[in-house]
Amino acid sequence: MSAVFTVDPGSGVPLYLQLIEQVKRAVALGTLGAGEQLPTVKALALDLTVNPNTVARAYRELERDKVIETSPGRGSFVRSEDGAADVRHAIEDVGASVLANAVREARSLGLERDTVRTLFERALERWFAGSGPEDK
Amino acid sequence: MSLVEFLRARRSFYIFGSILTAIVLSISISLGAAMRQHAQDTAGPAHVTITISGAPGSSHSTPAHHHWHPESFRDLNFKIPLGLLFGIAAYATIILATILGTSLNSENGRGGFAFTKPISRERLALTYFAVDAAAGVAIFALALILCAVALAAFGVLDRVFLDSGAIAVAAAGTGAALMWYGLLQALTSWNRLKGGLITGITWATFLIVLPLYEVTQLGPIFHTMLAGINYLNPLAYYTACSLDGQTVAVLSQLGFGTGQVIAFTWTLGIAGLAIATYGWKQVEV
Amino acid sequence: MKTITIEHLTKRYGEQSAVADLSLEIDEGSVCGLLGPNGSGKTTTFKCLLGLARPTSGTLAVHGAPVTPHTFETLAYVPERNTLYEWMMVFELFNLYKRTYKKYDAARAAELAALFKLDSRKRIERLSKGQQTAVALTLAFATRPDVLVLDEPASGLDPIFQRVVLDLIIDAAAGGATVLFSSHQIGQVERAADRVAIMKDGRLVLDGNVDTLKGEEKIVEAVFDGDAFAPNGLATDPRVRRIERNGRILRAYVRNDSADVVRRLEALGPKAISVYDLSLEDIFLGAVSDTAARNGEGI
Repeated sequence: MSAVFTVDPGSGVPLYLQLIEQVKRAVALGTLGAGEQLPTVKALALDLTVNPNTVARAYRELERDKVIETSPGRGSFVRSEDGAADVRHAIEDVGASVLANAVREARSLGLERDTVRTLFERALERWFAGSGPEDK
Repeated sequence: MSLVEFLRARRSFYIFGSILTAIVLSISISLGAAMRQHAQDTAGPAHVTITISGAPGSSHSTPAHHHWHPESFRDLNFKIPLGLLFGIAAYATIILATILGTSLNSENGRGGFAFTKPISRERLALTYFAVDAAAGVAIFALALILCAVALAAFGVLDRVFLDSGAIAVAAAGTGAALMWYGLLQALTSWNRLKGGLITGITWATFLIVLPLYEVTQLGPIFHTMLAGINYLNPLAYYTACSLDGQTVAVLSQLGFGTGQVIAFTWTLGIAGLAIATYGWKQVEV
Repeated sequence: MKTITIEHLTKRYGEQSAVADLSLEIDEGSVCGLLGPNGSGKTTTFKCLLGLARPTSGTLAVHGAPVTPHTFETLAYVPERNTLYEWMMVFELFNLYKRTYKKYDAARAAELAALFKLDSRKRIERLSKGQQTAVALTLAFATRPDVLVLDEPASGLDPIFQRVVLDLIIDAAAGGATVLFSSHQIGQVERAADRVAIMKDGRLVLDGNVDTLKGEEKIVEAVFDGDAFAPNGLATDPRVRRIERNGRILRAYVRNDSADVVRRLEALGPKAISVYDLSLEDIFLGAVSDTAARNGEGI
């Protein structure tokens, strides 16, 4: 039933944010399909050995972001097709934050804007080779 | 939590009871053997003296002496007052009372194990007192049984009769036990001192130091001080039992009669427990 | 709804202050990890809360009322030191709890005893320190408490059993229990707790939601061409815990609104500027370091 999430409680990134990102990733990658049930708060907390209130907070935010929906007594589910746009939006959020971090890191190394742009283009070539420019 | 004190008291009862049983049985067996030996060769009178005394060296005490001459032992037309056996059993009770007298104290070093249970400290204290009292009754009974076994070994168990002073002696003897128990509880319930150490100190004080104060030259101040402390000494109240005609009476170093000994020891004992309970309620662990 | 309320607790032993003006409120269902160096007053705080020590001043309450024997029907306390009756058999302790607690769950006790591999026929004094801790924890959790106060609950346990303890805390919290536990291991707090309180020298120096703190606490690092200097007022800014300078590098430990600090540093024209997340360990060390204690007061 459960997709396996991994979190690192020792990192400086708040746990609930890590969990949110993990769920969004899983949805983006399709390891969590539309309509699929998520583990209960208690089960996931025990599975990851993290505080249940933290898991509940992540679920609340995911619900607010319209990635999942929770019905009392039944549990939490990945939104079905009608919510696909919201899920897509959530996935883009994840991507945006990953890229923002990378750019910030590059800048903190003292790289100029043009150098970063060149490096970025090179990375695109490598990872999106053959997919065509419409991917970006 | 009564289970805790039950298990603790039971352990003390087992250990002390076994020692007591071993001593009484070994004496009975060896004496019995000596008597049989004597009956066979009748050479020279075997002389056995049994002294029952709490505080050696006390000037007021007149320990009861019974001279038994085995060759004519069973022919003698003597009787044994039950009060004498009660008097002996009281000493066993006193010893157990001092072992159990630090039961409240023994909870104080446990990070509040007993104090974080859904039972108030007062109720807990009363529970412990009750369990310890039951252990006292049990050791009193065991000592009586051992007396009976010893007498039976000599074939004189049927000489025991209920004398008029028996109940009073039992009340005075157990009063002394209660008084010591109460004193120890009052001394140790409110602190984290080592209970066994305090018990040992009271034994040394009551059995050796205080009985000696009258025969040693210490100067008037020390004399008065020690005489004062002696009023807290259960063995000064209940020093020995004496055969008084057909019955047994309490001999008190302080010169009290049996009735006074009963009144004072029980009152002081209960007062000690009240102080101990109050102190235990205040203790921080 | 506040399950545990501590208001202005001060506890002095003679002239020595073990706890000084500590206030802490813990919500129902929350797990609060209490961190602090040895002797920072964690155990004294627990003892005052549970009525084992009398506070010099301040008020303490569980479920809105001072602790009474009745409170312990649903509050379980596991002290730091092993204080079980060393002459008892394990099963005798189980019997004791069965007689003492209405809510005692014998099946749960058996389950936990098996989990910790406890031999119930053994005498307590024959068990290792860790096994004794396991007995104390088994007893505590078998009473199905609503409130748990655990003083160093995983001390002496191997890593596997430490994880079991965390699972027990998480399981209890998922069932709605409120937990206050102290620990030396930050890893335990960042897993099991949603709330962290940090004590130093009897004072509460930091208190908050673990994730919120992690989100707020940042290091802003600026590298300059020449020697690093801080803009006027940055060192005394309440959001800045402390500033470290090392040649051309300036590090500001910032709480809240790191973006504003970044803007102010950027105005000085640094060569590069980066923002780092602080782990709970960084936050803890920052809070108990001497400079931080000064800046952190009143937070």
